[in-house]
Amino acid sequence: MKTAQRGTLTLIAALTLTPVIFAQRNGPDWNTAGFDVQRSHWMKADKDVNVTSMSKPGYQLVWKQKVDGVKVGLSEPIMVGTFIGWKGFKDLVLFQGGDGDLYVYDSDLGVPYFDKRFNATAPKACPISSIGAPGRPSPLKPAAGMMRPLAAPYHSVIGKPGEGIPGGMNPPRTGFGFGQQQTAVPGLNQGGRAATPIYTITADGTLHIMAHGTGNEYEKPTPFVPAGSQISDISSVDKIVYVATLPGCGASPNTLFAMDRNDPANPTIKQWKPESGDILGAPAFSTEGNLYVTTTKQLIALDPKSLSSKVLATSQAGFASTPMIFTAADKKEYVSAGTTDGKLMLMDAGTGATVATAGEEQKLQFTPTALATWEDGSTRYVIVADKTKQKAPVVAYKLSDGKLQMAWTSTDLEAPGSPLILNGVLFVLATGEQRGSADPAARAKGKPAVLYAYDAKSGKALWNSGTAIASPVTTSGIATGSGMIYLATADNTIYAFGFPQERQ
Amino acid sequence: MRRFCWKKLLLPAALLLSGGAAAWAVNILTEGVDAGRTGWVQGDKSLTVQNVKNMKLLWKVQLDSKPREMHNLFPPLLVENVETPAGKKNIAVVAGVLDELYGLDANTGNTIWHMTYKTDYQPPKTSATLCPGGQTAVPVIVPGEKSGDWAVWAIGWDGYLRKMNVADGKELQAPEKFIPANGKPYALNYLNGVIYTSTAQGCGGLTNSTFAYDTKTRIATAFIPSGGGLWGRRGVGLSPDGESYMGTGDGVWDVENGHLGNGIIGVKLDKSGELQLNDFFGPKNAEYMFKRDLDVNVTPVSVDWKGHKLLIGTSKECRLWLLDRDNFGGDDHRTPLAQTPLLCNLNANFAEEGVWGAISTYLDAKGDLYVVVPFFGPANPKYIGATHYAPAPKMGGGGVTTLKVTETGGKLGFTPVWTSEDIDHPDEAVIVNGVIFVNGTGEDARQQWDDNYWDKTPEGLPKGPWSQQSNTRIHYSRHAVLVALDAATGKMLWSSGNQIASWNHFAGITAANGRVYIPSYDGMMYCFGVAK
Repeated sequence: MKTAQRGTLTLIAALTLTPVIFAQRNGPDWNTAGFDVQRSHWMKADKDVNVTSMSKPGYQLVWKQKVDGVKVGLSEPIMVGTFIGWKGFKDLVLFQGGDGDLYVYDSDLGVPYFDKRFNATAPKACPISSIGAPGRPSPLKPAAGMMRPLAAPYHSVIGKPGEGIPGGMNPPRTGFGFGQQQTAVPGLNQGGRAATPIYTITADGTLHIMAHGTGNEYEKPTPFVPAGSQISDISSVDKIVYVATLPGCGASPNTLFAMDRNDPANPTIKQWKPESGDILGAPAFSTEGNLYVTTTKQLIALDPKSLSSKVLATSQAGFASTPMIFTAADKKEYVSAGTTDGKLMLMDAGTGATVATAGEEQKLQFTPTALATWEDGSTRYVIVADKTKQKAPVVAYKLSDGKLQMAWTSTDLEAPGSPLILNGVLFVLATGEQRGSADPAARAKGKPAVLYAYDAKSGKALWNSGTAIASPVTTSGIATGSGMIYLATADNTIYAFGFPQERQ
Repeated sequence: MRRFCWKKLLLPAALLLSGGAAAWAVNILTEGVDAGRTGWVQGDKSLTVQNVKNMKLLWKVQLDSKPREMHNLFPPLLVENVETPAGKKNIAVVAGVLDELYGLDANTGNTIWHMTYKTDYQPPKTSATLCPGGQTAVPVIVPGEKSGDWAVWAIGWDGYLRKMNVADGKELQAPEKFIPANGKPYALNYLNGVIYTSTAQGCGGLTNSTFAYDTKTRIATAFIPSGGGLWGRRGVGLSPDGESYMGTGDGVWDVENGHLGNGIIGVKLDKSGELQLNDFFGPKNAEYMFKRDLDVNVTPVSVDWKGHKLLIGTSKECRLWLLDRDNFGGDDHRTPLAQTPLLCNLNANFAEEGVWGAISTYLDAKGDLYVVVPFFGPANPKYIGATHYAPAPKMGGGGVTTLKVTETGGKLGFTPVWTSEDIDHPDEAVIVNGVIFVNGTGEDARQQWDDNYWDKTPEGLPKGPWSQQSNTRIHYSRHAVLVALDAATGKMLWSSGNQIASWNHFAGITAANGRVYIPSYDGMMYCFGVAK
């Protein structure tokens, strides 16, 4: 043996009955905008990406693919982590077009997997300024990574004469045994492997439900929102699909729609309109299942089924961001949101009472419109970015003793987008778009986007994509899976960044 | 037991055969023809590029072996001129999944003897496609104590090792404990009194391992690589000095923490008779392969060529690795002497594409080394060699491709030579005298099915006695085909066409002495050939 030493083997042999070694095959998935329905934008763990690895060279453009035939633009992606598809184990990244078409790529290899082009049209075209992400069912509490137990390290066994292989070589097996098969879901993925729906909403207002492995529409397309609506990111919790129509388009703008699909043959639709202000985007959910929406005036809590509402908080200046929810070290859930006067508000998720604010004292010309949060040990950070300014920094606040304190500020970025945190590393796009217009075509006249990585704890700049991205990003955002960052530019090119890994 | 030399066993003994077939006889004593698993029948001149076009069905016989999941019969082992109570016979020893062993007259297909292993083992009532239970390993035949005697070793469902007389099927000794029951062992190999095998899929709760059993000391040993299943069809390959090789299936490659999945290991008995890790290789994309379930699932071939001690491996991913048996993968254990681009499976498909059977090697008359690769699904159009045939290997079919091993300036490499026309899921090739025989299984290799549409009435899944996957695949399987290809050009010389009524799965073929044997799922054994 050349490198595996006998001493090592002896140690390994001594550990053979220590079964608690796990390997992460993949996941959890970024299966809704912002990773989870709390909209934390926080992927807790990754085996490759961390502050140390990002401090060294290596993170780079892994692949890019121009998507042909996109009519309106591409959304923030969502991910389907490794699954057993009908043509192999796949790992997918999915983008929704502004007309509801769906573009799905193999996230490792950058090759098309399937696309769904519905050719849906609306009687009156909507001047879309943003594109919602497609949806997948999301748990209220983000799932841990898909772990599977590993056997003991390699080792040998030997029996006595005539004994055969001695007992004890078979560690207890846990989980799903090889060769066993799950019960098939009628109408979906015959053969019994798990399959989940993907949701898109086309320009004619129809909800399309596809199996993630094939894109086959396995449930009947159902009218959901008025044709020509501009929709938020799509959410699905407990078999209810949620989407908000944004102001300015369609017959019922500024409305939250919920389609209950617990009985798929007889879906029921409820809708809710705010009393005051315009809905700012997709709802967020507490881990207990309460639904929260911000309008330009209010923070509202809704019952997820009946959509009965209760105003929790009012902002005199007006809210500027969608809500983000997290559970702090005190085990309480808080709702945070930015306001148009530059404040970051932290509110009790149950009462709406303001717990802490930040921002005023910084004297920043800053509107916290994009939020993310993460926890380092017991220290909670809230990261904010301004998606309204042409140049603005990313600002990190630390929640300490019930107060939000500024932790660090980045240098100004060119038209920053929504940040995300991956295993202690903060990624954020300088989208490069030319702000000042709602029209994506006008915004596309900006500069090429640059992806930045920072130490999320200190704000130290770790890496950036340099000139790897050729165009601005106008309608897309960033998402992550398996250590890669995915985005789409204004010229409808998908970019994937990561540490290079031998694949095909 | 006296020591013996495989090469001597494979040397042809000049025998007078009647009729037009060449006058040679070769014994095939182990799956994959030899201990190195080359699949190359040396010294047999009975089948030629010229005469195989006249091949015909010599006989077929319906055995009473019953299937279990997708398994039934295995390809025969052959021993010529065995002294039996009825006189000298050429015997084809055929294993059946339900612990059965048949001794057939290789000339006629008549049953000379038939036995079922006796056991107290109470097998479980449940099974699955990947874990059928029963006898899953092709036995191995070794010379007996007396010249002209032959013994066949086999593992039953109960994990016991059995030794039977090839002449009459009678047990020569009481069954010996070897591996735990209800596992899934693969074809047995034998060298210097030691029997080798490996297991996969965790069937029966067995940890996936490679095993050895010393027939002299009666000591059993296992090496557990902590990877995936060790499911190379031909079982472990052996070097002449007894190093045992196998791919480690679908598992984590993490050497620092002792996990050798998606790699190739070499293990060897130490002085105490315990298998110990001798060397290991992990492809540089092992992590990706694990993520995509692209197991290293093929028995590595051990072959010596121009002073090089080579080991050639591949996987479901469908790329070849060329290793130095004395130094797997260099210092980092991840750098082969040479590797190919993907030969097939550009879709990274875990089921219907890639290499699923066995690769083989042979030397041509000039001493050049070739690798023969049967594969499922389409070939890589950018790496199919100078010659290729229509219709090209396709999805739902497959083909065979060959590569020449080259040495330029001291550096070894592969050069693609030709790719065959489409063959229905070919999984094993055997080379005889410039002819490549290929088993096109005709099996439905899918493990997943398309999702339904809301507006199409779902087709009900087929019913049957086995697990749903087996029932479905059995229902949609077609028929096997045996083809003969010119090894030099890849041109199809002969095909069995529609003569084989059923398909096969993890079975294979045996070729020698003017005959080619192929079993099918329905319990039929076919013998095609040029001999009268």
